[in-house]
Amino acid sequence: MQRVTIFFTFCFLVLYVGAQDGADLYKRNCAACHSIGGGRLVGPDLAGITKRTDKAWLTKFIKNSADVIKSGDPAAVAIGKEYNNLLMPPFVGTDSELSAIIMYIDSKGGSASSAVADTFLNSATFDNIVRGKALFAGNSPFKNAGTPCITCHAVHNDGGVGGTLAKGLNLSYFMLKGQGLKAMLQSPPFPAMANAYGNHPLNEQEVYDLAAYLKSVSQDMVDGKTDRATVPFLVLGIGGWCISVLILLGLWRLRKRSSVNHDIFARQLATEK
Amino acid sequence: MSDIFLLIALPYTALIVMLVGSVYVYGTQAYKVTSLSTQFLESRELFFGGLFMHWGIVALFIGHLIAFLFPSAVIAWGGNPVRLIVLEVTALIFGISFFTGVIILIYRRMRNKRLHRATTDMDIVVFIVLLAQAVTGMWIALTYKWGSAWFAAVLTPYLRSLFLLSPDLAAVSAMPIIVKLHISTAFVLIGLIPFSRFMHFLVFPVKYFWRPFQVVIWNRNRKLMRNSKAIMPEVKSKNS
Repeated sequence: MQRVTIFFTFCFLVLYVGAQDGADLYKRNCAACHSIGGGRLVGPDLAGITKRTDKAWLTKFIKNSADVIKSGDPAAVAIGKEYNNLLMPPFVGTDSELSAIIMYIDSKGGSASSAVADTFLNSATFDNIVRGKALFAGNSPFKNAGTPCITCHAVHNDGGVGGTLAKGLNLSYFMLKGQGLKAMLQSPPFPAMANAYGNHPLNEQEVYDLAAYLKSVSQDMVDGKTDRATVPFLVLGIGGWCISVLILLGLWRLRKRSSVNHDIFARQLATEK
Repeated sequence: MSDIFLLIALPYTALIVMLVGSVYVYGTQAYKVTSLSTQFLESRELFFGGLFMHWGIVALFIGHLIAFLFPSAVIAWGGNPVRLIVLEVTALIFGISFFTGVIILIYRRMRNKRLHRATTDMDIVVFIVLLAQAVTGMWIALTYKWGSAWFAAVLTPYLRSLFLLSPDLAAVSAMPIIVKLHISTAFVLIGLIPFSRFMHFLVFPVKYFWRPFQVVIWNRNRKLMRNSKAIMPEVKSKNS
């Protein structure tokens, strides 16, 4: 019994100490989209946020920003609008982890800069774009066997075969910038996408290539329209169906059409005469 | 809230009704389970409607089952755009086949008065549900492309979580409403199995899936027999 108690106490302590490591938690949960004093990325610069806002409100907002915005809270609505209504994924950790993160941000101090600090794609080359295009369309597979982007998303130069379940990505770079694309690709806040890539995450190189490709897609945009091959798709379907019906009609030519076995009936009549 | 009803409560209710109901029907009326063929009442339209409908539904059922059982294989197949589109067009052809079949069968039931006698209320319910399923399925295929690939990535985890008894709505609740309707209608169909003609495919020996269609035939001339003068010349037929 004593051993069990010691074991559980040990586990608890490990978890507790681990949970308190605000810097590490910050890096894993926040750093993709936020900086502390480095300027705005996808979301606002967090330097001094603990001074500017109420801690209870901050906790509520981090736990589920979508709900706070939906509730009509004016500050939350304003932030949402300022950042293109891109939702921050809900925080999935424990309360103690969350307060560790807030303490860490608080300890860094400083004041927020409104400069845009997006240098993520500065060194992107043509090769990155080409590789990104192949990954997007599924011509080269993802290392962790994720679904190709084209399954659900369309862009203007995909030849009309882009998926239409999710948003078209023509303007993704203008909305998200490099850092934002990186964040969306690494840990998507959209439930369906998070689910699809949860066990098949993209690796760093893939994220970079895709972001470079999406930047080039946005910059090549001419008229904002995406070809949607719905009509050709339907025509192919109906055409294929007609062909299969013609083949089947040929195969069914010799089927038994009548409910009367005429051969036997004719034989009966013949014997009666 | 409606998500919890459509995507958790309804599926579990349907599955339980299907399992318990099938056992109950087997136990109490095993010899009465029938697909109640009306082929001897109307043969020609049934041939086309029945074949199109069955080819469509069996192929689509197997397709959905494969995406559920082997999602990574389906995702790998969809990795190449040409293969993806070949698969999608093939599935759409079966979808159109199923839809045409159901339309022909509904038209046949409505047009032939003699079939009204062999049509139960449950048959009408089944027709409505099948038609809804065909329409929503093709709607999804055309407007939310490409279903074969995102089904495997997004819906398979949800379906698996249902069968593992820890339903996870995270991904599926973000899906368009038409997809949710398609899912819940599918579970309604499963729930209807024991109480409708669907039951026939569970009948021992389970060979409805591969057996060819059968035609009931007579070795006699029914028209001649209706006019009983041919058999008893002196008696006037009542129905001639």
